[in-house]
Amino acid sequence: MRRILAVAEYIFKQNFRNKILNVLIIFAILSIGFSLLISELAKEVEIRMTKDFGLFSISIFAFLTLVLSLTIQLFEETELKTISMVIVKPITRAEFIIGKFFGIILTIFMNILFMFIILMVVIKIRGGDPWDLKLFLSVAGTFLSLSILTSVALFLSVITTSIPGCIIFLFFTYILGHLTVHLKNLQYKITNQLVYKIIDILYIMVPNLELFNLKDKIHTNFSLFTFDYILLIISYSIIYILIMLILTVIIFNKKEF
Amino acid sequence: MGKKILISFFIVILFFLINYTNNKATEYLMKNQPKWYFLNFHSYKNINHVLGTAFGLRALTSDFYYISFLQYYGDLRNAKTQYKDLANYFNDATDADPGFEFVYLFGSAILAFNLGRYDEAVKLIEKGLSYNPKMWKLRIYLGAIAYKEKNDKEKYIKFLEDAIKYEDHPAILERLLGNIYEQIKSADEAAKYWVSVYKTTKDKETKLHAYERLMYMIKNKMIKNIDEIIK
Amino acid sequence: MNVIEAKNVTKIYKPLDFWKKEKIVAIRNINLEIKKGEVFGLLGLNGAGKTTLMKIFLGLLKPTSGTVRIFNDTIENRKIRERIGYMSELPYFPKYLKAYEILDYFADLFNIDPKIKKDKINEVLEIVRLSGRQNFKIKAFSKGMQGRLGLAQALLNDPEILFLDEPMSGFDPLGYKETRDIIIELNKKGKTIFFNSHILSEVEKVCDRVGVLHRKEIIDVQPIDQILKKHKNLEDYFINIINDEKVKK
Repeated sequence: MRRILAVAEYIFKQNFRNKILNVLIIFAILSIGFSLLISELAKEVEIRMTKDFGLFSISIFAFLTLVLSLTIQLFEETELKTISMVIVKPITRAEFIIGKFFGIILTIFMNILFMFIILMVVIKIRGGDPWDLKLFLSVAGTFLSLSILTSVALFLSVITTSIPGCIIFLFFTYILGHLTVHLKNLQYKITNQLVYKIIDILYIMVPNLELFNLKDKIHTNFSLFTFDYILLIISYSIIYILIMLILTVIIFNKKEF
Repeated sequence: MGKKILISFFIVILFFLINYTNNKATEYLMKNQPKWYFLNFHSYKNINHVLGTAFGLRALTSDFYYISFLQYYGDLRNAKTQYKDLANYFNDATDADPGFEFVYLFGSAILAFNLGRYDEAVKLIEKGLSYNPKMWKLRIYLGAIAYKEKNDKEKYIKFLEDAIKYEDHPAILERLLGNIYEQIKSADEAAKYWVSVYKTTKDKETKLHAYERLMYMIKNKMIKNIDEIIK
Repeated sequence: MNVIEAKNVTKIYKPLDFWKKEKIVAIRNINLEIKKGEVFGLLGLNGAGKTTLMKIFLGLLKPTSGTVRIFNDTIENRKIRERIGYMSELPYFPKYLKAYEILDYFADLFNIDPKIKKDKINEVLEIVRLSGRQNFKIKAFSKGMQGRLGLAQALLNDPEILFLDEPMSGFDPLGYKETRDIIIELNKKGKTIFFNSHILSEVEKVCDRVGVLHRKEIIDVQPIDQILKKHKNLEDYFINIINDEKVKK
């Protein structure tokens, strides 16, 4: 346990020192600036737009945080080769992977938290209600989907050593993850057996990120923000992450340095 | 060897669990969204819609449709064509985010009461009601449209008065009602209404409009009991 | 007593791309025994397979065939890894972290008691002569200082065997001497040291035995005093033996 925490802390520190958190400043400027702009454009729905844009920025910058910290980690492992000195220490490779996972999601969590606070302040200034449960759940959904993407990123990083390759794959996972529900919905109209099967496979393999995309449904009146649904998606994310981490560890155990 | 079998077994169990939660949650999601929320074979025609879905920013796409509608509606050149594409903007915005309830209200109000395009307005209202039958304000609009079509002004006004009693009504309704008052009621009554709008409205533009109308009426000496109304 | 025993170790790298068929033999049929308390220097030309052999000892690479035993056990065992130290060739560390933080991280990985952790870190910093620099960011460190930090992290757990991969590359002549002193000092404390190098003059001064790895095989292992009886110095011996091999082929 101590070793897992040590790895997580090390990775978080490194991300922190690499000034990943600077994206927060960009976020603050963007969301405040945009909110001012639309309050001129669309007065009657400015709170809604402030929320939408804020939530969108949070998800994009959180994704960016993941990509940046992944790049830093992969760079250190492939170019600096510090990893060989870590692997010979009395730490199991599983502990190393789990520590890395927690280090990255801790960075993402801190980023999301700060951005959320900024967003709440902006909403308050514009006269909205920042203590909206839906708003909170939407941000939590973003965090869950980013945790899943982190586990996918770790998996990709052990099967390929190329940093750009890894990021491109991650990007496609992000997009496909938002589309599988729509593909599934179209499936019954499809007669071609091959396409039908491909959709099934995608639906199972690709993380179903649309489930966590609560920010797009935040304005719905009767909605997904029920206890049952939230419980379902939390369990989904935990199981998905577990599977990804197990596969990552299995491959990582066979890896040579 | 035993360990390997155990891990494989564990993964298989997890696999079933994930399939179960995935199906359940997806079912939940599909049940909660109108049919048009999901992409279909014609979606490719609207590339913004597809991109918004792929990047998970439908709500924001909807907002941008709303802003482009404002620009379209604000551009006087489009008045020549009677804003013929107006309904498309509302349609796109509500396609992207069916929960954008303000668009149904605002859109149908403009289409029906400003431009007199009842069919398009009713269509939009029906879309809104099919999405959320609890949007009762739309039903008030339907009533108003029905009486306006029949030219029954009194009842039509009654419905509009009802509509603006409630919060979140589009500010355009307030202006609309004032303009109708000026046509059919006495100048004093209209002025009284404008004063109340001036005091209560949240919309700056409407406030300005109310002020301009009042000034206009005062300049042309249309109001008899100025003191009483201004008080 | 042997602390490291390698029997018939062969390593063949699989092709990087699955459609290619050529296989690369990195080392072939290595048999080597390292005794407790000795300083063993592995010599060889570039690409001879020195690093590969060391990585196989450390479990970073898995031998295609043959066995490696350390303390009569496998390196996979965590308990065994607690007893060894390793410094890679030209170690680099993340440049925004402080030296202390890096050692703190490695100390946690060794599961060193938090109570003595701080003293331990200061102790190794003292040994590698970096004390006073612990709060400097790596960005401000020279290559040589990073190398010494690499050595420091390998000493945190008081290892019984120390693996050093080219410990002197990147150092200046003063660094050579310091590293040499450190190695001699550690050896006096009873530690076994296994290292690769091609700085022969240094190897000559610290090693008890040397082995020559040439063309993927170990061609000779001899105590240094015997070599010096027959040859002028280590360099002379090394060049001779490599040339002899060429003639044989």
